[in-house]
Amino acid sequence: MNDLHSHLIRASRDIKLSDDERTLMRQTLTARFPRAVVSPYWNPLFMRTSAVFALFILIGGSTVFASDTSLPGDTLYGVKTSLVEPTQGFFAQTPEAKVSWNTKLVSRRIEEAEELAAGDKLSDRAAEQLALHIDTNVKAAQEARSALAIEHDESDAELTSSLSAHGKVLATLADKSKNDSSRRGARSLSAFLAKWNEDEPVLALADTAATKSGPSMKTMAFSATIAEVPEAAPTLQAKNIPDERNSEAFARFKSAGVALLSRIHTRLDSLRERLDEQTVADVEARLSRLDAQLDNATSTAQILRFFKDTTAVSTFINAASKINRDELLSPILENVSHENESAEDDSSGKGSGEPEEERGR
Amino acid sequence: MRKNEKQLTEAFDRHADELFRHASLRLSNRDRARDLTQDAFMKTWEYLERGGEIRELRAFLFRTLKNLIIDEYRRSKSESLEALVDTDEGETIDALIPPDETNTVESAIARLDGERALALVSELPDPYREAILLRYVDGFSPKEIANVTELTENIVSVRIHRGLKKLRVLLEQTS
Repeated sequence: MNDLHSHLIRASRDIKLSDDERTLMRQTLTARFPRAVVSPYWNPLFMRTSAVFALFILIGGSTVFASDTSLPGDTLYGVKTSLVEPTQGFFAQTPEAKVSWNTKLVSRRIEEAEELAAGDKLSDRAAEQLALHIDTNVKAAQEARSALAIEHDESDAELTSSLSAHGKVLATLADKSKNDSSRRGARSLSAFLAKWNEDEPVLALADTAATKSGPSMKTMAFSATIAEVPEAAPTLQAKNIPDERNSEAFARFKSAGVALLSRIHTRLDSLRERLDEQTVADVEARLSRLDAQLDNATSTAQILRFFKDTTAVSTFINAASKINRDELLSPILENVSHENESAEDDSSGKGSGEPEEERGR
Repeated sequence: MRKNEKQLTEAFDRHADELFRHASLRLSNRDRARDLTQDAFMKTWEYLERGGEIRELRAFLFRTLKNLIIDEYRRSKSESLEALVDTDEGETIDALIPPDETNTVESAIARLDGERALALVSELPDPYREAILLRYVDGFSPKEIANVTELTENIVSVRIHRGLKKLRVLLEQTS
């Protein structure tokens, strides 16, 4: 039957699907294949939030809480900065909330730096990392701030004053440091913070090319040796300063100042045990002078000066109580008499001849 | 998921034609043959998706097709009882050849002989026809045929043998 076989083979070879039929059939089959499904759960925020919850459940809420006090270098620090804080930050939706959240983050980073510096553990790397964080958060605060319609805000003054005051704290800590690399780290971070020049009256931060083009850290050439304060740092210009003739705004500033002072008083009270008696007495004297300073302020410059000084005191008190070092307060307390003189000069110089304005209380 | 897709498309590229051919020779109906071929692949896909494993793909495909053909016969049983025995009412071999084939004189001549042979095969009772096709068209060994048809090798040989005998008879009758 070989003939038959070959005949059959040959003939049957012609029987097959046409190209069209083949293509169509193939398509019909592959149409059945499921498409790649994009998981809606593969989403950074969701993953972060669930990670935080998962940590809560698995390891216990204590981990999330414990991460709260962690410092750069600790195991839980990563949890704090990349999980917990962003998740909390997500809930700050309005510009106001964003400003205050970012400001909070800035103070956290700075406090971490101070704690490390106090323990002689502020490495160059940690300093750089923290500076980067601070830069990012200040920028975010600025951005949110510019979205707000209000022209001037006392929190601006507070923020920048506190930044430069913290810079001074770090400088002091650096001086007292026994560890070379920690001293370096503290000095460079302090220089970084010093760019928020306290001598310039500040209310809003102007956009400059430097701030627009990515983190200014890159322009800083953050080197292991003491960083120079860069010329390229964003310059701060006075913008929308309340005119002293604008009595409403002025009054608002004054009452904000009063509130600030009372907050500091309360804080001081709660920290009484941690600081030594003499220190507390000196601080209180300082505060009452500031009180008078505010009372006598008639010009914007004076108000700003007040804010600067008061914030400095507040910053130093906080730092001293946290780190338990009274000597941190010496820079501000030593200058009390000088400050006092210049304050009096101000009010006598500018306000001479003018009757005292409303007490604003 | 991807593995199955790959397996199926490879199976299609390799075996679609011969499955179709077998189906058309069994059913003598091109359209139905096409449908059944597609169904065979579809069922194979479903089997893979359910997690089934296939050791011998070609045999699996043919077996699936075979079962579909049986279903087809049962379905058309009410239409024509002779379907199982005699395929006279089927279309000619010509109709089974796709329309886009080039028709040179040579292939026409060769096809004529083969067509006659195929036509004769179509006249065989289906059990014999199946065995003959699987053996001489699809190229399965008796053992493989047993696997595909789920019969014993013995029965397969018998069917091939009897099929050939019948073919000889038919050949003598027509020539």
